[in-house]
Amino acid sequence: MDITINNRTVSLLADETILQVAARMGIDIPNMCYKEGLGHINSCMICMVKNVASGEFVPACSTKAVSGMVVETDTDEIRNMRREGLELLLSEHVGDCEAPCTSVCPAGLNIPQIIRDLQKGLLVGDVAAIKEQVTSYAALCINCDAPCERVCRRGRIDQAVSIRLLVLYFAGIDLSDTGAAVPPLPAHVRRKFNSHFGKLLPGDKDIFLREASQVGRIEAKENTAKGFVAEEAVPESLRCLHCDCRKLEQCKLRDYADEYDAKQVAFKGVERGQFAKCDEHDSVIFEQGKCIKCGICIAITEKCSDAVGLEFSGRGYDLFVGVPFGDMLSDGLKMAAAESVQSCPTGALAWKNG
Amino acid sequence: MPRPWRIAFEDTDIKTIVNSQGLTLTEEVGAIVAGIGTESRYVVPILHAIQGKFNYLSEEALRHVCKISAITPAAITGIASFYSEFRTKPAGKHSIKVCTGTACHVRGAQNIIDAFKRDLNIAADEDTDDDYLFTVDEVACLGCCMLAPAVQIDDIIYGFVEPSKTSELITDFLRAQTAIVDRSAVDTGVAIVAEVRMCLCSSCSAGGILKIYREFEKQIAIMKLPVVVKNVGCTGVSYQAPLIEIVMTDGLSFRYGKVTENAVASILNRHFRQSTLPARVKANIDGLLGRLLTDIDRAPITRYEIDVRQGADADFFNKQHHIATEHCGQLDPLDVDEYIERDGFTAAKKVTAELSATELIDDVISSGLRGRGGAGFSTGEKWRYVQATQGDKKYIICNGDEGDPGAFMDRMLLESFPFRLLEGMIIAAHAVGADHGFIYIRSEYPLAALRIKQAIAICEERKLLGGNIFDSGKRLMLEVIEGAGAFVCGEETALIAAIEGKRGVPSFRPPYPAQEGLWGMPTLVNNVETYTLLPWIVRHGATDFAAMGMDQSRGTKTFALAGKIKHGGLIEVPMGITVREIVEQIGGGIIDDKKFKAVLIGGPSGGCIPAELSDVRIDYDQLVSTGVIMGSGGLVVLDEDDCMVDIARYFLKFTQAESCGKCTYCRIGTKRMLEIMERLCSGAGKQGDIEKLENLAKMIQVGSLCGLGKTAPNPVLTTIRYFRDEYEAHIAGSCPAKKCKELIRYYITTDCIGCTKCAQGCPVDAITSIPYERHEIRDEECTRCDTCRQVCPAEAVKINSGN
Repeated sequence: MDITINNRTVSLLADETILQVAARMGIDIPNMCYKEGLGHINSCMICMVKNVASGEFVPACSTKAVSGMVVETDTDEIRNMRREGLELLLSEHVGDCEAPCTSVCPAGLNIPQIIRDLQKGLLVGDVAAIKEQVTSYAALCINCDAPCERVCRRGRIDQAVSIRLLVLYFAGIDLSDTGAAVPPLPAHVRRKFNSHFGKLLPGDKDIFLREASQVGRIEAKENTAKGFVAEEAVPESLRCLHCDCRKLEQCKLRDYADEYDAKQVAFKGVERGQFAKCDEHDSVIFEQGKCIKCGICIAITEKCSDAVGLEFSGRGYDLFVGVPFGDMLSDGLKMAAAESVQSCPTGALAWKNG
Repeated sequence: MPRPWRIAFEDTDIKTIVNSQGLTLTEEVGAIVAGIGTESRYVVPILHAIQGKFNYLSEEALRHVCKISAITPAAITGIASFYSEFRTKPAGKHSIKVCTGTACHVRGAQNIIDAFKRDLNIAADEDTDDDYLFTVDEVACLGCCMLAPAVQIDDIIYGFVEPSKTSELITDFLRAQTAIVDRSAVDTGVAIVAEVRMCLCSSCSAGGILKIYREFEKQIAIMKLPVVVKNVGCTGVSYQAPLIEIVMTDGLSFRYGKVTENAVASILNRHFRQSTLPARVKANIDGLLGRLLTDIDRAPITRYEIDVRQGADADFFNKQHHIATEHCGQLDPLDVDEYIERDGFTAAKKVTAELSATELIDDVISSGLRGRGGAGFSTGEKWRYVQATQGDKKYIICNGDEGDPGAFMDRMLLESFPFRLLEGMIIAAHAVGADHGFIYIRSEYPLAALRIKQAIAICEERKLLGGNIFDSGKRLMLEVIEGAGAFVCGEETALIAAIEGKRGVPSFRPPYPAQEGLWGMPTLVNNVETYTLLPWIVRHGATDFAAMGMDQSRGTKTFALAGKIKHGGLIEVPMGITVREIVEQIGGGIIDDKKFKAVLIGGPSGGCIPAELSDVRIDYDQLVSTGVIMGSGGLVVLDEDDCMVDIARYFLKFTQAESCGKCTYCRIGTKRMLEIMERLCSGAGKQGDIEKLENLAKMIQVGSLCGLGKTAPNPVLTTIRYFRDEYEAHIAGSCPAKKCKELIRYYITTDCIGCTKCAQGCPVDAITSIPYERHEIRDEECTRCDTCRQVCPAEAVKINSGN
């Protein structure tokens, strides 16, 4: 009763899947649609491993480990398959990991987080963890061309959020204080400021900070001359659409895409679904575009016997997870809400405030 | 504003409508559910019934179903949106279903759809006209491939439809709706001297047999002839449709092909003398007058020799060997006595009385029978697994979800030989120890489902099925389950899910159905053809069956032969026959003696075999070497006018639309492949596209759970393998076969005689025509419907592609 995985042999316990044996051996097999106790869903196929004897690729999450089996889980061939599978998933992914403002910020400030702190009435001094980063770089905002505001999604609806003023207010930089030192930018750094994608490299930041201490104050741009006061800052911060993913740090798709070097641009110019955010639930946000159709949430609503529940609608490429009859999400997700949000492998189901 | 990601239930005030019996919507739905059952497994029949009543599924009706049955809202919306037959928007009073099966596709089905929509003034993205009279739909395959392109309007199937004739068809249909058919019976007091045999299966109906049937009944009644019209199982000779056979009681028989309504009276006159002289004279004068007045019936009746094993039909039959289709063209499909007379049910009786399950299984193993559904697993071995598995109850399932476009073998067997299928199932049930079974039939085959249901009822009455078969104390209950439009349900685990009343989504094997199948019980799933072969095997012995065929493929296989072939139809041939024998001898070669290019085997799971390889033997193992699989047995023959890239795109479009959406690689991968194929066919192909296709294809094959995904890339891969130059030509901007609309241009040569026919036929007025001068096609307005080229008497309309 032995099984060999990646050239290591262990003895089998009764009724184990390949995934379970591997986990026992400390071998990590990536998986997204698998959740202990929910039966075999096997839809993502990312957990595929090779059964060496038959040459077949099998989903490790649902294939029973059989005595004498020889399995490979991490060869180039398998990594390739996984990468391409992840790229297929990314090719229909609608939604950003990071908000556009963050990804274009030359200094890499986590703007949505700053704005959310502001919404709660916090200032930089209250948020010790990010204090150093924000105070070091926020002063840059005065001189910046503000690509963040150019890409702000709110701008497509009415007017972009006044991100710079909010950041300056948050960092406690008083624009009327003549003593505040803001440096001019070296030419090569200024160029990057105008780029949508360029960020300050570590070296650039050093130059910037060094020069900032030597040069002293320069004229602030006209439109930044007046800073926000609290009565203005909080309502302005509430205009933010929260474009960044709420599960940035708990997204399996993102983690595996990094690990396997899967690129969203592998498939360019292909049909994608439309961006949609379902806001009907008190505490849960549902973004279809981030859903990988694994069915975990559906299985959980079945398990919890939610009266309405969730279901798969349509089929093939048009398959989607929906509430029966298109009812409100708040009706579909009741008892199952917490477990579904926690088990959703991507940012499709997330807590509204978190 | 409608929210995204919601099934588009159309809002109507249907709930307030009260029908003629004074019932409200909820009362009617209540009656439907009460009539069918409240268990969750009845969800598909209930939806069928509701749609049949209201012609679409309204939200109101479905919510009411959930209220009064065990069916949950999640199940009902999931299922209503899974099967393509169900619609959530109101449909027209009549439905026009244009077949887009392979044979119809290569003969221009898309042009037919366009023509109907044009005639009915329906926008491209709509399907119903403003008056809600007609809904135009595509249907995967009507199984009338030899009469392609085929169209079904309500229950009437029309064959050989032309884009220029669609409005005539609509008129004909509406007229037929009001026509009263005289169905007066034959005078039963007279001894019958002859039978007029004809097949009324779906494919013969498309050839126009129903009109002929009614005309025969009418004329026989008028002439008071001692002749009966008999409905028999199909001969498979589709290319002669409508085909009739007159069989005298002394055994003489006469066949007539391509019979017209007007010819019926003269056929009868030729064979049967009127009973009295005045009647004869009157009949002759009537006939003469009729001809003089109407100028019809001048064309001679095509008459075939008494012995069909001569002349043109001889080649069609000579290579064939009828086992599954034994006695074709002779048996009335629903006459159980006739079936019994010809050794029917002797095999089942013998098996239940004399053979143990093990003996029977050993026999079937030694016959070498392999599953005819496509995968080719040994039938006997499969039985052994099911028999050996312990279970409180065991089930037996007949897979009649024949979904391959271009395949109609199972339909023909179900419609023509229902008793043989039931006998086969009795034999298999005995082997595995099952006492309950289901026959799953796709919804596009209503006649097949009806005949099987009738056959089951007849058998139960005769104790051939039911609680006490042949008074042996054995029990077998059979039920018919109708599908609702999902190709993937042909996969056995999906089929089982569908019977259980779930979305037809495959699940991972193991456990195999033999271990844990229907409702968790050991279950045998075999294909229609596999079952119908069994009575013969039992009667003649395993050795006789194994004597046919070769190597690991034994016995016979039925194929649906269609496409650009002279003689198409259903054929049953020994395994190991070559492609060349089928195309050149049985099929009689290519229509119009064009160049044979390739044959498509196994529909969307198969692939193409090019003409150069036509000596390859058709069996399970040899085919694999060409990159093709046997599949269920559709054979579509292509000629030089067919574009291989277009064909591959066509198949991929089919599988992509039929993917259940479970596995990542199949769900997204087939879509990405299709996008590339569409790019190629529209002239936007890029260097590197072929390699991208090959790469995606490999991933989908490896990374899909079920047969649909694993085989979906086959048509693309085999066409790339054998016709790579055509792919390269498309990237360079030309379509060598001149098929892909975006890559071709119609023009008129100096051969034009100025007859204006093309301009009259052009549906979009894109031709400038001055009589007796060379006409001109305005390219920017041309829709490439091909009508002008078809009507031109001087062959002056040509197609140009590329530079």
